[in-house]
Amino acid sequence: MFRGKTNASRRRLLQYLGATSVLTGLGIPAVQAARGPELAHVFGDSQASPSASLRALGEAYLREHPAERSKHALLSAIKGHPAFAACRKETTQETDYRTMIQEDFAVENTVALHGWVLSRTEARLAALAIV
Amino acid sequence: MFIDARATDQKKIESDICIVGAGAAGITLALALSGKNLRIILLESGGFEPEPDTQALYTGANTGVPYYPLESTRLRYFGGTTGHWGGACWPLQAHEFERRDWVPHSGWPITREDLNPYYVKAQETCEVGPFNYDAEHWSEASDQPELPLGDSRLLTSIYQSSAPPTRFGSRYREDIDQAGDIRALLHANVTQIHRDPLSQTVQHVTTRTLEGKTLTVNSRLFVIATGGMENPRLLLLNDIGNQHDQVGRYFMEHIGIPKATLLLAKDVNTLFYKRTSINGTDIRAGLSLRPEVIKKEQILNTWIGFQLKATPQSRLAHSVDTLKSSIMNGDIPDDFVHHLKTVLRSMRQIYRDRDPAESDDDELGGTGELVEIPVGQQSEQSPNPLSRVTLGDQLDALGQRKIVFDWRLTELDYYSIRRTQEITAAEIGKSDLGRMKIPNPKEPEVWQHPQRISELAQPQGAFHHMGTTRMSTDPQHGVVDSDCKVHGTKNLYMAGSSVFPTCGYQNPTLTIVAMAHRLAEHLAAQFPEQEPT
Repeated sequence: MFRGKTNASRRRLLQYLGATSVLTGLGIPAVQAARGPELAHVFGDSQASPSASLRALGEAYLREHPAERSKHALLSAIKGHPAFAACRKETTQETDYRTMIQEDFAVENTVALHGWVLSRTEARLAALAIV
Repeated sequence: MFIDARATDQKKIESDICIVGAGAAGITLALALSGKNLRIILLESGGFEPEPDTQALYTGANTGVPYYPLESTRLRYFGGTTGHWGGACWPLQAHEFERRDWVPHSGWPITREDLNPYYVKAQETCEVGPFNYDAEHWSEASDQPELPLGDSRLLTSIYQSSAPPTRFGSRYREDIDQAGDIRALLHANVTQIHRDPLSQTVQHVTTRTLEGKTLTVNSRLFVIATGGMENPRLLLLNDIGNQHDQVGRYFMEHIGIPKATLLLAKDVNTLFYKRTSINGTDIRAGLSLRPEVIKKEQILNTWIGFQLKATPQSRLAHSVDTLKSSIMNGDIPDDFVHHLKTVLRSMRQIYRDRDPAESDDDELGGTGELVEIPVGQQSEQSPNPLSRVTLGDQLDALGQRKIVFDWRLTELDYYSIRRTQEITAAEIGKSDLGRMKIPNPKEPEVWQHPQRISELAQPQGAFHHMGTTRMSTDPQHGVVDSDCKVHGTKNLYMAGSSVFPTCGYQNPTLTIVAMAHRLAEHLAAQFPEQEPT
């Protein structure tokens, strides 16, 4: 029963990161395409809109990694993830980023953006929102 | 019995064991030694209530990492600093007694196994539950799951709380009073320890009241149990035990730095991580790194706690337990009205929550589907000879030199906290429970500059003063031996957290009390001719 709740939280955290709808149309459809209002938590500012928070995260990532400041560079980096091929669903052309994200955390392939420790894949997905 | 040193006409007292200081260690020692046909003297600087003039004897200067005023971090009256103790009890872990290659000056000359029987006694003295700190056991007993961390570098760690915290002064005052073999002198400040250098024996101590009345206590054995700052101060003032310049060094505190934040899905079950009462035992769970991870990472130990709001059920259980134990002891707690109100309010809230339309959705402190939880941490400090207590030029009201306190942290201290936060954040992310925000990274160099640490890192202590008369079998590396006897003396012992060579992250009171029970057994064995009464 508890695992079920955890799956639910996983889905919401992906929503929270809000990257999915941004990716639609970029050739990397995501598992979910919804964004929750919780992004405001990133800055502790209830007035901040989800998209504003997402853009700020993406901007913070690109400030630290200027070489990735293009769709091409970010998509290449995401597709270059060791788990990308395994996460790609051939039938639906969807990518299950959860595995990539978990693998990032497992090997501490993380970045700290505005203090939040995120997987590098998450950060790149956020960055795609603004390039 | 109690004697007020201000009112007695006695000039000299004879005893078998003289204990200086009536805090957790001193009171435990006196009571553990009672009934063994020994004459026990317990010397206390204060009275039954805090007194400003006595408390002012604790003032001193801070020259290191910014710290609280010294007189605010400890209490100088009967019961000592247990008067503002929070009640947290947990034993040091077995690996924390061992020498760790990456922690300079680490390693105890005794093991956790040596202390286990005394921890069992300490649990009773501190009025907590059974000596069981297995998180899985308490999770099952509470019917609340541990966080599903999977194959993680983290594990759930719990502590027990003395609830309400045992105030040794009020809790054991009658026991001391009724013990026919204990004489407790109040307002008796030890100003001199007279040691014969030839025989290396302390012969007597001189006490003085703030009004100037003096008294001499002769004894066969002496124990100094005045806390982690006053213990070294007394030795330094009397030039005892410092032949290798070890007294006052290695001061350790438990370090907290600005809080991290955890973002969890609201349906992640965190109930076990709230402070909760389970079968009458007050438990709080948090996270720590597995010992093998600490070893691999070569860092110090840290405990991570979630600052969750109490549920109405846990508030109710806590207040009911408090009121019940008070009534059984025939006392009315100071906060009686508070607990009564809590019971009524919690019951009303629990009843109301049965109706979803009236439920309080803010219980976890969040909104929407995610909840933001402040994360606190308590970290071990490494033993550092430059972190120390010395004597200054200022004099107190008794003409004694005041303390100069120089708390210093090392790069290992900073790195360990930072690294633990990073690992915790990664493991929380890996297990899909949430994400973690950690304080801004700071360069380790700032920890070497006290004025900048205050500004940038803001480390906080926990009023835990440890390590200043550390235990070592080698007099060149410590002040007391494995029996807590001061090197270079034959009859002077130290009690309290000043003897800890390393401090773990665990609040020290339970270990202080366990060590006091162990010392009592050792001291009693020095009087084989005495038959128990």
